[in-house]
Amino acid sequence: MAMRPRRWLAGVLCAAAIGAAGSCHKPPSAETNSYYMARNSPADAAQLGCYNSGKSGRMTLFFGSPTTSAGVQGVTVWGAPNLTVAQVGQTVMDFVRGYAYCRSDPGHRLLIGIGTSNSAIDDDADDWLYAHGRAWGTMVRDVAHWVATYYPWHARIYGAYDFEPSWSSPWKAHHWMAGYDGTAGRPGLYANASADGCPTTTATGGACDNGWNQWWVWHMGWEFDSALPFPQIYATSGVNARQWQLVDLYATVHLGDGMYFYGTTSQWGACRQVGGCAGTDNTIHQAHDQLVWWLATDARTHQDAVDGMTDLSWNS
Amino acid sequence: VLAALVLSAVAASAAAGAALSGPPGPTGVEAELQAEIDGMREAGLPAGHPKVRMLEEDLAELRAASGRRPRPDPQADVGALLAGERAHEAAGSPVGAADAPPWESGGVECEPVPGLLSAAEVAGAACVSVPQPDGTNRYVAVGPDGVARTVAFGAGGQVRRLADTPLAAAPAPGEAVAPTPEGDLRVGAQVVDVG
Repeated sequence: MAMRPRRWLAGVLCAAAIGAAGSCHKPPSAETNSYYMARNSPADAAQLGCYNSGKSGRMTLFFGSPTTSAGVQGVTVWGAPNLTVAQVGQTVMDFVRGYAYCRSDPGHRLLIGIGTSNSAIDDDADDWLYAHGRAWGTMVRDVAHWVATYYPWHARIYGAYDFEPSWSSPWKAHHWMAGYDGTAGRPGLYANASADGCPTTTATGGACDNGWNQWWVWHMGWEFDSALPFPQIYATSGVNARQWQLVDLYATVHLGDGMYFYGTTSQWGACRQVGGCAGTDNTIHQAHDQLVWWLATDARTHQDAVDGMTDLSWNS
Repeated sequence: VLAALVLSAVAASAAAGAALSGPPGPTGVEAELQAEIDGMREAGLPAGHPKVRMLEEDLAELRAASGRRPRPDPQADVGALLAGERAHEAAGSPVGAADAPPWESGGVECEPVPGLLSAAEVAGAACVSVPQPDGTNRYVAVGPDGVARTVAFGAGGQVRRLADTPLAAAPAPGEAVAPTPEGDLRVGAQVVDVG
């Protein structure tokens, strides 16, 4: 993906024209919600699915960091009881049930990512992380099959990985991702990731936080076949969008394999819940428009559209 | 608020069966996937690129699903599930209380709370989940620097960082850190109010 000359001016004009008024194109139903899942009873999950019955598009349900729960692979949940990987799958199934029950527009479908993260994994063994990634991929595949069997008109299932450089070494995140990616039949995986500390002016493979660099962010967010970049664009300054555009530019110029972005992740809803986030509370449209704008500043990274947009909140 | 909105959504759906009964026409999501495939190809990805193939398979499956009738979910009684939820709400009991305790009580693995508690702040800490008598929770990271850093998980989705609490003395290695029945935190001989 060396050059992207087509229709770049349209993207620039669109992004420049939008301002705070919202993007050029998206109906409100396509502005999806994503959640940190701190409440996971069957009723909670069904209720949350019902609450999202007016939405259509890509979104993610985020669980905590990989751990062992009841002797098998699982996740932490910020003080709520840890869940096994199977319980995570069950929670998502209940979410789909609630969504299907309440959805009134038959044209709406959710493309749901089931997410974990690279937080607190530095002390985990590489082979344990690989096995956890495989367990996650197997669960996501099985839930996807269940949805395709019972609710194919309502939803589709993906994996999701919130990887953030400040949360672990790149190798640890790599091992989890390799496990997921290597699982036979695993669906695609949203890379709802950050680029902490990555360069804001250069595209030469420069350093990010915690031993990561632009290559590592590209490797995790794009090089794996299953990875679908869906970056966190939180900063109101636009610096996060700039960082990702430069990762893309680096990959395009130096690796000959630039990225394609499937959506943006913002945290405006979560910021409202926590009482504010200074400088990192982009609205869903600001996040989307900043990424489109920065991608359009260089023909080598231009992308006509970034289709998905989702905003994070706590389900707690 | 969420429950009220869910009730509205349930009512507005006018019958769950309506949503489940008829096959949908072409959807916005299908158009979005097609646009992504076209965008990737325009950007120079070859037709055989794994991501192009993956999205083409996704799109084909979405389209194929429109033409076939789903099997009925054998375990689904979502109406009862949501009705049960409403009963809990009406009774004033915490949502989900009938299913499981919503919070751990005691030591938990430390992890960042996005936007509120960073990886650096939980590094080397002892983390404790401290349920409160009102059904809310405090997630407390007691750092090796002798500071208790607390995130409150409240009602209605409220999640907040509370003021840090310096302890009289940093916990010694292996020293017990545990919640009290009153919703405070005991660190060795100290009892700390965590909000």
